[in-house]
Amino acid sequence: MAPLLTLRRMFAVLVLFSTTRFVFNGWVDTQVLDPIWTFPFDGFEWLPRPSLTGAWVLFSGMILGGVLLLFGKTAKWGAALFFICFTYVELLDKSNYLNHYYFVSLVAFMLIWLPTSATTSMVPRLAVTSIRLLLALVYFYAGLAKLNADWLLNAQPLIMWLPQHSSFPLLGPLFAFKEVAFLFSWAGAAFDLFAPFALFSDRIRPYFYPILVTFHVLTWILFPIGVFPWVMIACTTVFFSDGWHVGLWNRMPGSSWRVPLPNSDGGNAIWSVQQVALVWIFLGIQLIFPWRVLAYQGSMYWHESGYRFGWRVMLMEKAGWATYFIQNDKGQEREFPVGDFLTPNQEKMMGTQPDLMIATAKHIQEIWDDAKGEHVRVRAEVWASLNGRRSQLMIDPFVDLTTLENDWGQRTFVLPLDSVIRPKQYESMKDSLRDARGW
Amino acid sequence: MFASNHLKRETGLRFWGPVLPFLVLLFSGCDPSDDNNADNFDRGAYLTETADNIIVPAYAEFAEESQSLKQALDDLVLGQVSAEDIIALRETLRETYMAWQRVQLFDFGPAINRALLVTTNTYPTDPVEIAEAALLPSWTGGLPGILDSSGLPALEWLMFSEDATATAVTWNEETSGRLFHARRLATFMADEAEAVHSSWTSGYRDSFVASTGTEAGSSIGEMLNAFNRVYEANIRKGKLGLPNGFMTFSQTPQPELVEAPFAAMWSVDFLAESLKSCAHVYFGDDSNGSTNALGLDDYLKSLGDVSYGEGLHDDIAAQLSSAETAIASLEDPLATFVVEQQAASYDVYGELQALVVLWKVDMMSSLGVLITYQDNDGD
Repeated sequence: MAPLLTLRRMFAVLVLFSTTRFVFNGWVDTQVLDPIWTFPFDGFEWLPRPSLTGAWVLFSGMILGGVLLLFGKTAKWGAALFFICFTYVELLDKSNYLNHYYFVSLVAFMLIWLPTSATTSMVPRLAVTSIRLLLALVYFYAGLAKLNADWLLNAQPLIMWLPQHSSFPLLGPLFAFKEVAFLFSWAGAAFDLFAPFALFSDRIRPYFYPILVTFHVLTWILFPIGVFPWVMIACTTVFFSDGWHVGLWNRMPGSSWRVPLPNSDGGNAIWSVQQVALVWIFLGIQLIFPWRVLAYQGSMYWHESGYRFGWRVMLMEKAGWATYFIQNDKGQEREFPVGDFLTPNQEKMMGTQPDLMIATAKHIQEIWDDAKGEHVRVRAEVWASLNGRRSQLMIDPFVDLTTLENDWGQRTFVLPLDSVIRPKQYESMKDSLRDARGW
Repeated sequence: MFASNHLKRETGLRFWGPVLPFLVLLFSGCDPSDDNNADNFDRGAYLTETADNIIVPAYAEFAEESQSLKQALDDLVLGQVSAEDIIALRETLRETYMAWQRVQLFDFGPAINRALLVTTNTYPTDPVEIAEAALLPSWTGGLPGILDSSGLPALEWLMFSEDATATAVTWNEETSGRLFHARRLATFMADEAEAVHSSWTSGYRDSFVASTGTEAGSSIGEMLNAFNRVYEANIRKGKLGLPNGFMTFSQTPQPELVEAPFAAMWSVDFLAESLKSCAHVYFGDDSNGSTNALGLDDYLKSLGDVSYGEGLHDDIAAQLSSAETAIASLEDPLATFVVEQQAASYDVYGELQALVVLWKVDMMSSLGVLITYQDNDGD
């Protein structure tokens, strides 16, 4: 019970901090209110975009939820309120997707159901184990995702990212060396893969946790990944023993933090079969869902089918630029500027994520139809660069994107990563390609 | 005690011990002296050189040219304006316009704060609005509704709507308000130019060179985002892609959209000067990389002999030179050229387009410059 109590209290503090930070950074404006149009998650297109009032309600809800989560008696309501408000905002726009937002949603969801109040002295062992398993899974999958040629053999993208931090105190000058990028890449992969075993092992954990703290603090300093490192540092204390957690709270000044000592011979409370089954179903989904990527051919980092919700964190440097063209029934074509209805961040994300390209094309078709009452086909020339490769044509430039669906099928309109077509080459083949494809 | 034993075991004195081997490994694995593939690019020095050798001098020149234009207008006497005066004025306007082409890229910081780009060079300009404004007793510059009757394009229309002799006659009529209004336009522009210039010299330059990171909002981030945006929208599209009809359905040329349509013979020179200023920023000086001046070329080369470093630089340098050659094949009046030789103008546009890809996708990615201030867990 005590590990979950610590988890809940620390998680509450972190979500309060994170929500406040989000608001004070002006991101409610830039991510929620400013966008003229958004990329809602599949199946959640019906969610109404919040007005200014709506945004106040949602973010106040997150703050209130965080506060309620601090106290045992109201924790479940707080978790539920926070989960709903937070997840609502995340579902509004795929271009804002972050793995750590997803992680926060999952933990908040679990805290609705798990016994975390200080007065519950006996809880089913599975309650603690379920959170531990989720964390283990996050690390392990993040590690597996690093087992690819770019990461291991080319030290990409760290070899491009680290030298930017040459003014970093002490370590800075070292970041200029390719060897350091390789060391970080291999060490990072090993760390992630080893973490689940180290955290579960009573013998190794005391040695591993300081490494874990160092690792996350370093990533926090080097990369703009927000509060994620602190969430992981806080959440992984759930692997510590009951005794450690009780000691932690009872050493705090003031009595309101105190927790009762665990009853060493009292055994554990028991969950019903249904409850146990629900926990395993939840964990099973987490275990299996990321593997959907195996169903797709080609580089996951390039086509991004099955990329989200799979703990692929800080794995690639990808940039892209999409130019859209519309063609009317007379066969006349013109460029269509997307900067008018996409924010800079949306445009950047759309430049590399194929499902956002389809959504953008369909929206362009609607805009044109509304404005001119004229049906148009929409195509896009997309130039993208992945992990230090030079920019290459990313999708079929002569396919009507509005005829494609954002289903879970193979994205055949995405050109294979190894079919490198560079701008000059494209210029020379463009006219014949256009004729051949009937544009 | 039960609890404190646990505390000691989990976080006791051994806490930092395991990290030491990791740090030792880090330091021992790489001795800076025995390796030369280090990225030793000094962003602070780069920013200092760019500010002191390129940006601030360019603003100083633009402010000075704007001031001489204002002065030249102030020196004229109503009723005594001659055709020669108008011809001399036109030359001063051309110099100012050329100086503008060398500052348009720096549309961030003080320039953004004063909306310098839109108040100085929004075109096509609206002659009716200008003629009406000339008759008004008072006029306030910089308002959103009058951008298309302000700045260089408005002055250009006032000086070129008729031939020099006829212009002199019109300007001498007090009722036309032309001389009077030209002074107001030039004064506003000169004041704005000087305001931006003095923002740079009185503080912004120092904070600019001190912000050496690559995060969104850092100097490099601000500068390169503006560079890409102005190149893509104002140079590639504004100066060629709109006039040559590439952006329209019917692919009909829009000759009235060229820059400086009334002067007629300046458009290509301005486009060429714009690209030259991009090259200037890229190489750090006018020598196309042959001197030691730090530029983006040196930044890319410092990444080493890799496709995203020296390889990318080679491509950018080659593309810059083929774009320059392509622009040289255009002829003024550009308004006529885009109509009569539209296909040729498309080829030039293609060369300009290739640079967008290289700068906006490849270079930004290589340098890891962030364009938006937002958490990111890996693109």
